[in-house]
Amino acid sequence: MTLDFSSSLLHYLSSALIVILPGLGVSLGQGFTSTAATEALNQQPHAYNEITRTFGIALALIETAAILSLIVGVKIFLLGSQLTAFTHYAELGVALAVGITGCAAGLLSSLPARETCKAIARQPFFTNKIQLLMVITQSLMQTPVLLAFILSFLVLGQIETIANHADALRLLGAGLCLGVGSIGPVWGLAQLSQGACEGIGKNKHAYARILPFTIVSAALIESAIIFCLVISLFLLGSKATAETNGFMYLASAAVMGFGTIGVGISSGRLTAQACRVFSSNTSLYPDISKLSFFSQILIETSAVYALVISLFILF
Amino acid sequence: MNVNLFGDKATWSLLSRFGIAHPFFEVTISTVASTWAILGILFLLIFVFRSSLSHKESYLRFCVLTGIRMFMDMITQSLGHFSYRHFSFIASLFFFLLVCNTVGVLPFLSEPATDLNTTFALGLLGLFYRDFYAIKEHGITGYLKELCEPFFFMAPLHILGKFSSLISISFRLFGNILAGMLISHLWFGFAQQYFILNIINFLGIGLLINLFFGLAEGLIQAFVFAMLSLTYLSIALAHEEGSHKEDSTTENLEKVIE
Repeated sequence: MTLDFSSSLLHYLSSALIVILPGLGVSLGQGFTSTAATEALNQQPHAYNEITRTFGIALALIETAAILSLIVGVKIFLLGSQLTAFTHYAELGVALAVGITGCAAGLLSSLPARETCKAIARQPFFTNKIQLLMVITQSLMQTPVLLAFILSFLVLGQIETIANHADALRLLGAGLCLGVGSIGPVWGLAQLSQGACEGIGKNKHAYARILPFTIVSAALIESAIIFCLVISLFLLGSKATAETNGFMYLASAAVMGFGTIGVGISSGRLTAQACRVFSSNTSLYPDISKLSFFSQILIETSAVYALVISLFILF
Repeated sequence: MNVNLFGDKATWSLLSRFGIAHPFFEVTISTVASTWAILGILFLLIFVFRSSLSHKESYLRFCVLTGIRMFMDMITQSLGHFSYRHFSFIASLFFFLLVCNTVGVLPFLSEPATDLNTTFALGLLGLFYRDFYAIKEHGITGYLKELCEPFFFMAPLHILGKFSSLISISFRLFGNILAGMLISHLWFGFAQQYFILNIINFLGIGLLINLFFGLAEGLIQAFVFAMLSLTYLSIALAHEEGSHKEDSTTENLEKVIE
């Protein structure tokens, strides 16, 4: 079975999607951040300098997704619509990877920025530390966009060697896996960073506890994205012959991609709640962090099952 | 912009003399060479740190002692008591991985963690270590009884859980280090094509990218790996906190360091 689309339609669709989706997410995120900054200024008019500085940094960091996707979009558009017919599946894969991750990262990285504006309105003299935390968490949330950017270059490097239908579906799957798989973990990272910024905004003495906890938990949540990246790289590394059924690659990608959604969201909720607990009672740190790592390991098991199943499908 | 992902690494068939040419017995030469180089670097570092301990009032001595004390606190917090044996296992895992993940900054060396064999071996090491100590603590009957925790037919699920922890811990390290390596390789491959980008690279951007993805990612991932091994270990050794004697006071820590 082949999908019957006109190939130039797919080409233009993918070069449009790759700019539109991140653009949507980024503009919404910037709007939310600006609204929160306005409210914060209304609460604490004397902190004008601090709030505008934070707000500027946050907007620039949110903008990263849009810029990266613009570069890839231009590169895809310049490839031209007159390649072999199958190439356009690969282009659609790149569009899904960069578009979905860009949309999610742009929209959701506004959550820590909003919370940071409120926190600064509450404690203007503690601005530097809160700002540092916001920059760290926001740049952690931009990692999937960066990974998708790299993946898109790897896919575009293979685009001239596409020989058959299965090969094209393989590249589509590589993009789909990273794109869909990053939705849940990015959401989780957003909740975690929101909780961390909120906790520091309420109790500045919790900073020394929350910062290392946030970094380790973010690395744990991000490992779901890394599993997706591993599957995408395996897809890029495998070779399709004429007899291979291309839908095998799509199935493998879909299993891994959809397998991480729940994992990311629930880990994020858990760690955000842990950060709120630290801010209200700092002495609970050893117990709560131990509990949180235990549960994160247990939650992550289902992502591992998805990884195993998709590896089974692949080999 | 062709990055060699998985294949085409020089391998050496271990048992080819006996007529066995299965890919399972092939050894990746670059991984083994880098691992030996890392062991050499670690030996040098240990020598330097060891000699710094005899100089009182040196900055290096202070740094070494602070780092070791932080690690000891971590062990004490998650195991409930201090144990020198587990401390040395976790700390050696951490320092080995730290040098492992940052060695890509040096020329001619590649990170061994970009090879799945290395990360799987480290994961297996942690798995066998904690099961060995779980059997030692609870006895073989207690260990088997724990496998069949609520009902006896849950045992396959527990065994599956052990393997899932192995897979998650090794794939996490592999993917992260591979992604970092890919980013820096892609950037340098891209920058070589343009004259202006080459100049920018020499001005320090290349160094910054290498430092961030080599050093910072490597440090975080080494810490996460050691931390997770410790957490798995503390799950396996649970239920025996009360029986163990408390030897975790700060004076004792000083004694152990000296």
